Amino acid sequence: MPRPPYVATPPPPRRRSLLQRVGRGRLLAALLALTVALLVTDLAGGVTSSRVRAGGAAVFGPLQRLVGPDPRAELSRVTAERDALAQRDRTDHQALAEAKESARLLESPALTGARLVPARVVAVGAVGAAGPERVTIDVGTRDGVRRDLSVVTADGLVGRVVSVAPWTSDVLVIGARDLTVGVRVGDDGRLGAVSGAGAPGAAPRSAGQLNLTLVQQGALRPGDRITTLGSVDNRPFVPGVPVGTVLAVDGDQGRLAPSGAVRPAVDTGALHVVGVLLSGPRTTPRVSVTTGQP
Amino acid sequence: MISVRSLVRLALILVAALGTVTLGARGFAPLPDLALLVVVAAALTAGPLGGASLGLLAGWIIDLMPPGGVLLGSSALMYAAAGALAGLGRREGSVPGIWFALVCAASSLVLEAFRVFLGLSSRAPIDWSASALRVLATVLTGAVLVPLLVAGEHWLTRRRIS
Repeated sequence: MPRPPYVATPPPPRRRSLLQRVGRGRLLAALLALTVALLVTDLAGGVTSSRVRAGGAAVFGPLQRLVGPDPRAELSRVTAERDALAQRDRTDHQALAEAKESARLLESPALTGARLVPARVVAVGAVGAAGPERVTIDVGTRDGVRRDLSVVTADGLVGRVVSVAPWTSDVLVIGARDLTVGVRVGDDGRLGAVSGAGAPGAAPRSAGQLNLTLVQQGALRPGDRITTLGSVDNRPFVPGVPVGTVLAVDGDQGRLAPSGAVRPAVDTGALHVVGVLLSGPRTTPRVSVTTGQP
Repeated sequence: MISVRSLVRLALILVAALGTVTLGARGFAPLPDLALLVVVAAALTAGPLGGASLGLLAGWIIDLMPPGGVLLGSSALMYAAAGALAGLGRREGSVPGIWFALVCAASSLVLEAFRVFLGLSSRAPIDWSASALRVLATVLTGAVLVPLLVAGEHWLTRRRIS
């Protein structure tokens, strides 16, 4: 069997280009240094990196929308497909699952009264060691989406919007290293924080698990339900959205506050239809229950 | 002036990066790292310096294409290192087909090692099976795709000379 021809024969240079004048090695070194500088800026939370990301989203976002399906048309299509498939007694598992997911999302009791924009996940970013950390959804500023809004499914919290372009938004999903969510745990609502990064001194978590740390001493039991604590003006997180359940409790190991492993309510590796909460579930002002007079 | 070969490489990287994020959103897993395969093919023709340069470019496209990398610039550095390593695999004359798979495996392992390091540095859980499957998918796809891409590189080189 003949071997493929594999002879590297660079052609003779015709004219001195910028690369040849500056020197390819020096140019590469300069670009690497610039990359490291931007990486450090991003680590420090600088504004420059946000602008660079926004520029990238403005350039590549329309391309991704072009490749991805239109959300409303797609939603109607899968809903119609669901009815047609039900009538014909055929099974298209993916379309049915998406249609059911949309219906469950709209009927979710935790989201009653909330303004919600349905969206589809059109891109999954470079995966970390634990799985996807950022996803792109096909709604943006033109759909009323802004930074720091909650993104949910019918099962619970997906993450928060961290970057918005006219037609797409990037979502930092729960379990990402940079995302910590204030939560209430169990029926008595103990306060804590859930994150993807492990607590100092705690046992390493298995893939797909989150880390929970209570803010003060208290009992933590496997099976305790965890919901979001909520943020000021409901940004980035609205209260009462399921985050997960306590899977296991760590030993004391000299720490003041207990910690444990959490099974997330949402499988971030299999996201299809999500919703962006433009407002929290409560939209009416809370009235005073006392007159303020003795 | 930008050569046709550079434009073709850029277009291939764009298509590979766009394909990877779009297929990932549709639940395809494990996905081969298509952008890395383009970088490996170019590096096998251009050597370590060219491989690192193209890796840097590919990494930046991956970092900037929504949703992008968690740490801006981290993919650029990782792909530059993988491209430089693949460039070291450049050989004069004909090589057996297994050589392409070996270079793909080495570059893919370097990328995955960086990802695991970043995960461990933040004490995040590591999905070892997913990492292994990603490397395997990249190597198997590379064993088929990289020889074709290298042949394309040579065709463009011959066209330029003639």
